[in-house]
Amino acid sequence: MKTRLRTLVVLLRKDVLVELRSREILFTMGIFALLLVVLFSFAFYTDVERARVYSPGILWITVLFAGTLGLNRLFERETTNGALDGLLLCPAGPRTVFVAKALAHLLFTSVMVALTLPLLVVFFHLEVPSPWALLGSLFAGMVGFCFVGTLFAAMLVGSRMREVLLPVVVYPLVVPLLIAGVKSSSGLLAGDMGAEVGGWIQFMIGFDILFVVLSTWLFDMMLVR
Amino acid sequence: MRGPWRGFGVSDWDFTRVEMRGVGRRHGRTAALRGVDLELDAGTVTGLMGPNGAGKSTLLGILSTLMAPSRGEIALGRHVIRDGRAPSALRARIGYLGHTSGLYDDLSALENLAFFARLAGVGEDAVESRAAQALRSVGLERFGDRRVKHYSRGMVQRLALGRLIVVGPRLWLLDEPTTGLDESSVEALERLLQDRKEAEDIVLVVSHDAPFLARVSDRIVQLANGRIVSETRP
Repeated sequence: MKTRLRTLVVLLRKDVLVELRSREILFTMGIFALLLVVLFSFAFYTDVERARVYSPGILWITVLFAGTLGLNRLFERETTNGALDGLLLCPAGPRTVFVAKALAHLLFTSVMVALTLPLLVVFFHLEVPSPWALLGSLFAGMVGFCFVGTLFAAMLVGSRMREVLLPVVVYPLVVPLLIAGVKSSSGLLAGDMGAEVGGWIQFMIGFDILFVVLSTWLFDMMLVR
Repeated sequence: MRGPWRGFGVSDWDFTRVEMRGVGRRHGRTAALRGVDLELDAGTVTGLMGPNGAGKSTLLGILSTLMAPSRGEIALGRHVIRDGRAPSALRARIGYLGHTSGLYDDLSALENLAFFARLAGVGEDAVESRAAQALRSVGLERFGDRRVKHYSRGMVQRLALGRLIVVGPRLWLLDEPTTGLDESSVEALERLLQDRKEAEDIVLVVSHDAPFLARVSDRIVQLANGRIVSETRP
């Protein structure tokens, strides 16, 4: 277990170092998310009350679309020079590689959200009564999305149609997560900390547990050529 | 226990013989391999030759356990694999150099080697020295801090061999390792293969370079149309 954790850290550190040097994933995701927020703010902002209704959907659509851009490039470093084979032959095993890639994507998506959320708050004149709860619900949604997305990004690694197929395969699976995310964010932005919001957040945590376990288990099989 | 696998409990996973038994593999309607039987023993270098499309890379892919055979099985010591799913501890003893380098362009040579050493479970105190040693053994010690994307084709190939050296596998699978190498690098590769023989490793080299294979191999297997058609001892 200790060795697998060490390998996980080594893989994550490598992904962060490569990203800091190439700036491919974060730059693409960040610019795209910024564009979405700006465009949506011009398209939908009329008054504060309507903004509070629309903004949760806009926030989650931004996470989903920008996150998908990152997913498309997540395994590119491994496939460009065939490094994936070397990773799969490491003693910690393919599942450790999968968890590391999913966590790397979660990290990049979190950074993107950390940059985008304040802009959304400013452009839509939002008041956030419980910021930590909102961040927590966002994080719960991103965990499930990142693990499911990473699994299918790995599955489509050799496909020429990857960029088209990935959203087609991933979005139907994460629709429940998206609905729960929008509902919980709506409640939290309205200052509601009641049972309904709690229920949606619990649903997301349940989804996370199920799909983190399932996708990690399935990853091994999906990479056999 | 040999190598950097302390902590993984892989001493049970060591092997001194590799066998392919009736291995076949189809890519769609095309049969890439048709019932191949092959034995590889510790302390030997086996050369594999054949025309394009003979199934050489597929054979290496199956031996690496990264590709599943359509029929037949491979045995790494007493561990038999039929579906391309091998235990990680066993896979850790396989070094595979395919048509690509397996390196990260945005990392320096030393960073690449240190990364793969850590991945192989080399202790943190030995990582730097092991990476530097591997870099020296492929003659790239002066370029350790240079990023791989600034390397020439031959330098990348040498560093790719360094990636295997730093991991120190039992089974070495090399697909066209002389590609892009100059004369002195080929000689260094020949020395490396000799060292691997003396270390009782198992080596399979695919190459179109017949004189090179004749120099390094204990036997040369000829593959054609997915079947082994001859076996010679140079």
